[in-house]
Amino acid sequence: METRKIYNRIRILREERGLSRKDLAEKIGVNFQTVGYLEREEYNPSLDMAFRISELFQLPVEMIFSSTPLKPLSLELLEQQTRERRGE
Amino acid sequence: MSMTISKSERRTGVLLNYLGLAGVVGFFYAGHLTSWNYIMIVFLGLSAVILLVSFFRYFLFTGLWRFVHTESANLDERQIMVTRESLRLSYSVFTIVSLVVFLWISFYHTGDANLIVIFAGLLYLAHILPATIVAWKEKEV
Repeated sequence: METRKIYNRIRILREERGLSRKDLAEKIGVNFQTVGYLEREEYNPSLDMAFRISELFQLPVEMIFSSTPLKPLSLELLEQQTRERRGE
Repeated sequence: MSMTISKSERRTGVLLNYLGLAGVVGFFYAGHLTSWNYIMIVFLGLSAVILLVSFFRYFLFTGLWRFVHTESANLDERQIMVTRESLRLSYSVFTIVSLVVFLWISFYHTGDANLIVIFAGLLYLAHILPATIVAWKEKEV
């Protein structure tokens, strides 16, 4: 079965929190090379790992992972604010 | 797995190890069939050195050996997947190669019809065994 690519924001979130790949790997219980694979979007994590990552960053899963390419978080927040201002 | 070398170097090292293995088996077989001479012994020794050095350098020190010989509990989900896939492929390649070699030996060297049937049967068994396990373990829908 061909698996589709899952996009993620792991790298940006890790860097924002000042974590190294090794730190993140320890916190989610994987090898640091696996973090590299995740960040390069060369490996789709299991649901369990996706939840562990979302719990660590305290963000909903859908903000970290997506089946379509993700926009920068800042742009997404700006669009959300604009929509709220318009009352949409 | 602690990879401190590049992918191309790792692959070259692994191929070098296979070359050493082929050299050891080939020169030993040739020496055994013909008569041992100085050159053959030197090449056999050289192949053994290549085999040992490349094994320690590219399998042991890089952690590749441990990667596929450790328990699943010591690996994360991606590593388990990689190991599982490598074992699945290895099983196919190993059974085909070894049983074809056995078939060849029984056909050309012994000519024993019983041995040919036994090894042909084993070759078939090797192919249906994984599907048999699935047939036994899979639950009904």
